[in-house]
Amino acid sequence: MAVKIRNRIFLRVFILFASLVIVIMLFFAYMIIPIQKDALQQIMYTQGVTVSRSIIQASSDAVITNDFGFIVEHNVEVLKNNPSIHYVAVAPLRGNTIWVDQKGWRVLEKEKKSLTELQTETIKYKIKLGNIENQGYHFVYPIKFSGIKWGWLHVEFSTNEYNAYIRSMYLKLVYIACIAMTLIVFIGYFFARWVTRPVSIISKVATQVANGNLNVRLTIKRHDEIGALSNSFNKMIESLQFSKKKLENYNQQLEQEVKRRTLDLDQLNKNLDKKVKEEVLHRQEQEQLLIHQSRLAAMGEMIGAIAHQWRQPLNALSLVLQNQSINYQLGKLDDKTMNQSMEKSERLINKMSTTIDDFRNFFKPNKHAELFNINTSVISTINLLDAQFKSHNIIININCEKNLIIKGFQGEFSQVILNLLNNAKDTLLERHIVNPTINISAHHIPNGINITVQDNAKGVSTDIINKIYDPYFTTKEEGKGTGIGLYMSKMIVENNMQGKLFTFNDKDGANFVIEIPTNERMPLI
Amino acid sequence: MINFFLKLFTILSLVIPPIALGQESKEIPELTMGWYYPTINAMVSRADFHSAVDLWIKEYDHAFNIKNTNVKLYDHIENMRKDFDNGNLNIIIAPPLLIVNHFKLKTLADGFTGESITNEPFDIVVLARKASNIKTIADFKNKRLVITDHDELGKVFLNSLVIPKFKQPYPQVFSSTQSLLKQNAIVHKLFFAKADVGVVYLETFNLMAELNPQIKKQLAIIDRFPIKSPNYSYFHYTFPDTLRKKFIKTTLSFNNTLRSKEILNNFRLTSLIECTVESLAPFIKLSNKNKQLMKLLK
Repeated sequence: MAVKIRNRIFLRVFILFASLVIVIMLFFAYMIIPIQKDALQQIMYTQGVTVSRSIIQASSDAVITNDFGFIVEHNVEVLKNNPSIHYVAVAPLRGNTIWVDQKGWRVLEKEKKSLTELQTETIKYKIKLGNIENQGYHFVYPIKFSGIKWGWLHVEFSTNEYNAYIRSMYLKLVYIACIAMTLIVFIGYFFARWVTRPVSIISKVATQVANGNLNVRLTIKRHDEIGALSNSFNKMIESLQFSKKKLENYNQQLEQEVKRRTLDLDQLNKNLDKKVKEEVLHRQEQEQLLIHQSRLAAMGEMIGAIAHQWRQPLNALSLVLQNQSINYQLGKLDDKTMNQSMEKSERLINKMSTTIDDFRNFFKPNKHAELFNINTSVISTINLLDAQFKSHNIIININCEKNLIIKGFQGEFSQVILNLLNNAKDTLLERHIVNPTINISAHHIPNGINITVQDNAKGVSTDIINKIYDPYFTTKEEGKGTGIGLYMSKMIVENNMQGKLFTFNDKDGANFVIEIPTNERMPLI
Repeated sequence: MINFFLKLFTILSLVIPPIALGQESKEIPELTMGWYYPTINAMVSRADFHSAVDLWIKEYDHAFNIKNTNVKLYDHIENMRKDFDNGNLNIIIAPPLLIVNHFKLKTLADGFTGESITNEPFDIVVLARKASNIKTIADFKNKRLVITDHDELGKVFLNSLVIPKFKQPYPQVFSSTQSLLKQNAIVHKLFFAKADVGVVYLETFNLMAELNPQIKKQLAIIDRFPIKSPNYSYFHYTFPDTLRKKFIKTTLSFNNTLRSKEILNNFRLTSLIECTVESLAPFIKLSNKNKQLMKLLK
């Protein structure tokens, strides 16, 4: 990863170093300038004291004898030999002040305020500001002899030297600052390079290592923390290299193992596939067997139903034949009677034939989905059992919406309804229910159709309600039930009609509910 | 110390040309200059003066093709005159009145002297404090006099003024006479009322007044005697004439260099000028007058 220039350690170290040096330098300048100024003022004070004492000492006799001529002469000489003194003023306690400067001398006829304001018992000084020519250090020395005050000596020194020294100091500071800045650039560069170069090298090598090159090594030969880090880093690379080799070996072993296992799995998969296929086939065979058994059971029941259906027409036909025989013996068999008997017999035979056709249609497998009416289908199915229900006084209530037309396999739907009706009938009979009743309803629900078969046989025991859809589970006596009716019904509803078949009890009995969704595969017309 | 050398150089320049005279000059075995020291005593000490002169004069050995150069300082004019008469001195430097009084004029040859920077003569002036109510020489009586040591000209001139008036030499006219080394001090004494009458060079007075204009307000010039310069320089009449003229010619161009001008300025001299023996005439006249007056007092 490329490091931004501003984030580089080199730049940061360089800036830090430069900042530190500049701060130290500024702090030094900040501290030293006032000290130097104080020192210079102290020097000027000392100079003032020295010059004043020298003048007074040299002029002491003249002062005592008021020989002002000598005082003037001496001070003129002093000024001549000291160009840095602006003026010397001798202010006697009594008398006019004698003023001597570089241009000449004079006796002041009026006292100068600038002089008198500084004439006190002690040494005074004042730094006079203004133009460079007018700047001066005004020093006032009280003149005393044997404790007797005589007057004051005023000496003003030029501050040119002071200013020049200050200027020189500032220039030196600027000069030092320039040198320091130059040194900062050079030393800072090399210092930053010295500090950061190992880090940079380590960073580069670390990047190479991160990119996978474990053959690089750090060559930093130092005896400090960087050197120790370099050694540790090299050891780490060696460890990584060793680990990598080890890992590669592991990988190779693992790959071989994976290959071996893959082969085993492939083999296993092949066997498993074969087993699954075999199992599926077996399952399918089982299912086919179940269906077959179911159909057989249904057929058995249907035969019983047919027997019920045929019993009445057969009795009627028998009666017709008996009547024909009696009429023949009685000689009353005329054409009219014969025709009537024949018509009645044909009608009975047709009815029986129709019954056969109904059952045959019921068992005719549907190969293609087709439109059918729920209500019609329910009624047709009930008709198959109508004789049995009537013989057992079972009341069938149909409450189906007339326009429930869906696309599907009508035979399978009828088989489910038949199973549910048979189960209800068997339960009603088994439990000797008074006024046995079966209610069949069909109506729209959101996104589908609800078909409910309800009886008043007091419901399914809660102990078995979760098992009733298991194959071969039956509560009927041996020989009466196979235990595959509900199972097959559930299979048909859920697998072939994408619906649901479930059971719940109400206060009267069991409710078997079929919910068929209406969608593209199972549209509601 | 630097000032001292500047002074010395200038003073010596009055009498000795510092530039080579050329190879054609005849070889002079010895050049000796005699200096009357008391008149310069106020400016430099003897030891400093002598050391500086020794150092400086050696430069002339080769410049003037002279085998030996000497400078002699004299405290007494008589000794100086004897050496000059004996031929031991080639050049003399002394106040003109002393030359007139002590040297034979016929033994002198033309030399040179200085010219004031103000283009005014140095002149001896008699100053008086205005506050002492001195307006004429007649007011000198019982006043306090202050005068310079060894200022023979000043004393003679003062006598020439007071004797005709008071029939007494000046020490008896004034209530007190104080002798000072420096002329500056005389002006200061007058200014600060420590004296009433003083005798100084006009040049000094003007210089002092320039430094303090109050001086001219308080002091007045009572009388003056004309003089070009405090010291005059003359060659011995036996000194080679050609060489002497070359000396003088070179001397007159002394102020051509910047350095030389600076040196002359320090002494408030603008240049050096030729000084003939005839220039001594006023001093001869004054000397003679003084002698006559002194005879009258006796």
